[in-house]
Amino acid sequence: MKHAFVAAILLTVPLETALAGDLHGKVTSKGMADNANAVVYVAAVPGKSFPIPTASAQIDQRNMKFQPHVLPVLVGTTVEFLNSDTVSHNVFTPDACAGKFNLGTWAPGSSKKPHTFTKECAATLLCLIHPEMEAFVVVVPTPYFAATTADGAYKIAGVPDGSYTVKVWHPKLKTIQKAVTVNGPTEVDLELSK
Amino acid sequence: MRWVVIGLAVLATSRPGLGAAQPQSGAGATFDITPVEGPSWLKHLGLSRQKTAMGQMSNTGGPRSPAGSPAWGLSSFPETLTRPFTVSGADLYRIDCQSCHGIGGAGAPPEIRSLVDAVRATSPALVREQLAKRGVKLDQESIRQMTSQAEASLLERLSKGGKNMPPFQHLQGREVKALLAYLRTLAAVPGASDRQVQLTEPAARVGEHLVKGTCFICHDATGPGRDAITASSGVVPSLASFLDQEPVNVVVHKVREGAPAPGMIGLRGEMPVYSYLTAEEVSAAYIYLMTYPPRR
Repeated sequence: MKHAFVAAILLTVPLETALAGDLHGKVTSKGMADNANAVVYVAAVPGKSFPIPTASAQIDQRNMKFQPHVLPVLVGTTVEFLNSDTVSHNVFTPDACAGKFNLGTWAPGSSKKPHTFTKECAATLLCLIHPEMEAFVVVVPTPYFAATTADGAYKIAGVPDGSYTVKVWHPKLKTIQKAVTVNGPTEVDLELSK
Repeated sequence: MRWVVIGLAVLATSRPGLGAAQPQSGAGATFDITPVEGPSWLKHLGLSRQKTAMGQMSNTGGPRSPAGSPAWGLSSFPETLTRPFTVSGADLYRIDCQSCHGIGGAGAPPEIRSLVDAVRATSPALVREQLAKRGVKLDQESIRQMTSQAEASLLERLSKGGKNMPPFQHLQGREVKALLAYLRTLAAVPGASDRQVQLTEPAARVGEHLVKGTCFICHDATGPGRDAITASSGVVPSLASFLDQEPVNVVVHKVREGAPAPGMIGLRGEMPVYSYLTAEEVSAAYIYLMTYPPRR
């Protein structure tokens, strides 16, 4: 009886920790100045849907730039747009999947302007006044996503064990996909090109 | 000095309501001229002249009259009292905007941002071109909506001002249209130069533009004038004090050429030189200050 009990513990502990793991690795963006701004995400988790996030995400306009340049969010997320600059800015997207919205022009420091992204989309955000400004909201179908840092590293926490299609999006490079099996901490390196 | 006296005599007989009473002010338009009042715009912002480019962009381009040139005729002052000015959008820009935004509208970044960007955003043709450069296609209706919204924002900013920009409430509908038409040439909007507007305005109105758009950035409406104490302590003499202290020709000379007028004793001072203003326009500012006395 005692042996069986110990065995049960030994079985249980590894099982618990192996149910989900961090999907991590590096994305190499060939021909780019650095490896930042790629979005790695799990394309679907079979049989599972995800509630609309209650927390908003934010994109600021500061020093004549959208910050962050690339923002991945789950479908249904509301993104608040801020203006921390000294000049008026505008935010619009020409992309139909984001409803071609135009938030208008608004003065520095004034209130946030929200927009809810309801569909999968890689929405290009532009400022009508400053054509050099650009950002992307990448709306993905699962909460398992991450953007890469300049060295290409990404880490998606708590991905349930299983087999998935993982996709990688980049503002300038071709989107790729790869079959990945997550089993505890899983390392996957990926490469993007034109 | 006799012509000044004549000028003032003409002026005295035509008060009050010189501005509003102009018979030739175009399409029956009248102008709601109001006195300049309160502390200067820089005082309002708590900025010192040394720390800003506002009002000081006069040396960033534009024609400069040769030093000592008698560019302003002795006979012009009395005439400007009775003869209306022909004012284009370019003139309005020069007397209302240029001292901060510079001759081409580029401003003095990062303090004064280019106004060209905001104007470009009002042009469907330019927005379409910008989007095409990115490979983005957007339907005409969306572009039209965005550009008209951008225009509304620009006009609101002009009339209400911004964090650091004064409100230009004195500009009226036709003036705003004329100004915007000129701003579009600065932003290289296709066909903009063919759509320039000319207005007819009384001298006091032209003077109001110059005082509110340029002089008032540094000069308080009322307060101390120039004397030995204020001159050495860097106090900027008030607009009202000119009327008591300086004849119009001295003011015109000072504004346009910097140095004290011939025969006058004094230093060059810290005031920028506004050689892009005509003697008539500076005289008009003087007339405006006389007919609509500055208020505290």
